Amino acid sequence: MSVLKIEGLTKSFGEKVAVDSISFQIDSPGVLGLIGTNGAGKTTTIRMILGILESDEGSATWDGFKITRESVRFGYLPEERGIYPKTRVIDQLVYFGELRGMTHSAAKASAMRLMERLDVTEYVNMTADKLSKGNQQKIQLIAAMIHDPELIILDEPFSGLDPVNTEMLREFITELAANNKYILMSSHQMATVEEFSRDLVMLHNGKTILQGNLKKIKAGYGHTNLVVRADQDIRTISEELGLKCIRTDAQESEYKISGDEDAKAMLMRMTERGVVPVRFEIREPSLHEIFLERMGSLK
Amino acid sequence: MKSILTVFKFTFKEALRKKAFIITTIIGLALIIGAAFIPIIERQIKNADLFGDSEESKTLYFLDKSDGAIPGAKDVLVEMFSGASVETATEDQISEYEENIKKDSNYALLVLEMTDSGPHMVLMTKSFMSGLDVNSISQAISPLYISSVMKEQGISDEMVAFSQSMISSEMKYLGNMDVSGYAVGIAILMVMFFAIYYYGYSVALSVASEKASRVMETLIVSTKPSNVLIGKCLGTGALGLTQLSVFLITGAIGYEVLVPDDFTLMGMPLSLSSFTFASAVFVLLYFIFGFSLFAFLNAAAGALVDKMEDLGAAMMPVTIMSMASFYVGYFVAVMDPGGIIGEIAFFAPLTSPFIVPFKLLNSDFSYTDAIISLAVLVITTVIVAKVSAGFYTKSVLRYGKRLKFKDLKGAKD
Repeated sequence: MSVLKIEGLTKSFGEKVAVDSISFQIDSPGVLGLIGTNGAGKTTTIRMILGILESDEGSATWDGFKITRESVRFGYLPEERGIYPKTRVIDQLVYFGELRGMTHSAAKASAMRLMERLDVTEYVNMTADKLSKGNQQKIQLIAAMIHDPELIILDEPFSGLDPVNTEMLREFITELAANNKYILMSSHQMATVEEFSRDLVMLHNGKTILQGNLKKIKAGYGHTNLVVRADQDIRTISEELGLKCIRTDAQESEYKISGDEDAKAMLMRMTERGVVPVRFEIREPSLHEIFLERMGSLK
Repeated sequence: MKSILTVFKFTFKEALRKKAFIITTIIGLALIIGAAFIPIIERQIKNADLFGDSEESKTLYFLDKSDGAIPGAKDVLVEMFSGASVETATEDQISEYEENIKKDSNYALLVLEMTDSGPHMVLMTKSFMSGLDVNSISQAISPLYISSVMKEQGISDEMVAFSQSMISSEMKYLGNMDVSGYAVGIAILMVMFFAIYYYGYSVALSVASEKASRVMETLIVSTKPSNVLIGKCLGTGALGLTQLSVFLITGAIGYEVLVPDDFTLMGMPLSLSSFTFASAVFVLLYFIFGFSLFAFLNAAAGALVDKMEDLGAAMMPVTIMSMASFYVGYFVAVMDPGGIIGEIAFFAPLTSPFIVPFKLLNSDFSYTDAIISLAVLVITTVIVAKVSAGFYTKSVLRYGKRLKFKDLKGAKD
């Protein structure tokens, strides 16, 4: 097992502290989500990890060694997407593969395999400027993955993708995690990170405001939400019990509860009134809610 | 090293496919082939001027009003205008001849008459565009008149012939400079400037477009920025050498096939005797390192911008440096090959790529000086390459704000 260890990374731009002593580690294959609002310091952290930016303090190591092109085979999808617009797709993929030390034939074979996996083989001989934004993004993802990296760093991988491509990328990342890859993924889309991440680092204004195993974090919050679907109107019951409705749609309603006792009370009152629950789910808060809660507590 | 080769191959292949390269190559080849035709065209024009090989029939009317003062004048005209019909004219038909000449440029009338000061010739043509030159006719006929007068004075035929003989003469140049070396030296100077300007611009454009299209961030995590920069400069330089070689080969074939054997430049035959193997090697090395020096400077300029429209302004200092160096080289070559400016420019890294190749072909020089000059150029190129790589690395994440020299502190490769 390898270890990606980040210790006390700090970076300032003039007076502004962009990243303030961030530490975390990934010690087994899987996804670590780096989340935060725009300007939280996610991209700066990634750039310091990869050595694109020099940190003012702290270190980023892989198995105890400073992360360099030589010490670890890493793949990087930058936030700012960039490919050669007037170059054929296959030519630039092979080029990036060769730059990563692959032979021409190995790079070409890997490019073709990944293009097939991401369903873009029809563009193999086209120049990149003729591709849609989503397909260009897939090509850049292939460029990052072409040399089969151990450590994969994806900076906002889902931004700009349509639902079909988002789903395809979800499956792809799941596959990578299942194939023992160490993945660091930054995003401000909480639902996406929640879906993949085993571990989490939440940033705000360059500081870590929450980090750890996502399941444990959520478990720490306990059962805070109650989702109820019923054929009859249950608003009166919830109002009688003083439950705060945080979401409601044509099918169901979601309430904030302080513990399982609130849920029991709700279920009993519904039974007394002859209301049959079609769905009755007690759950932990979503990552989005945790994030908002954390932000609220900071204010 | 492998990364440099990869960037080199990619840069070379991509540039080779570009329309701009294909179009400039075609235009260059067309110009070279056109230039090879110039001696033939020039000869055709000269022949046409003398009523020679032109397809249309030409007539020169000759009206002798001198009562035969110059015997054999018509024979000289017949020999001179071998492709034309030289007809004896009569005075009563002058108006008819003049009408013909006004209508058709293929007619001309030469009137020879005696005046108090001696024979006088009038040549009538349709316009000054006819190309006929009355002075050359006068020079051809004058010896006949002089010998005729001398014979009338009882001077012997031998003396007459002796009086008209010319002193034989020839030029000998004791220095290393001949017209061929001079012409080739100036041509190399021009080619060097073209390469530095055109291909140097390509390097800056390539770096700026990589930055504008945000490819740079992917590139520098894939390999060292200096490898990208060196590979890019070498790839573009190799492309330039390839294009110039194509031009050179085409020029050589054109010279062999189209240029007449007796072609002369400023009266002297072309010869590449001053081009030795050693001088050819030096010219090649100066081309490679001279181009590289300016290419790295251009790469640094390209790295400074994040919008393509700012590239011209960022390149301005490098453009001014290259133009100033070229003009110093040119004026040293043309006006002051052995002066103090020439001596300084010989060793200065920005000007030596323009000066040394010219001097190699046109003056006596010491190979020690050339090696020192080359060493200065190589060392400067390496330093500039390192500084440019620093600019390149530092500039990757700079958008919207110009990079300054102080920002180079801490630049990593």
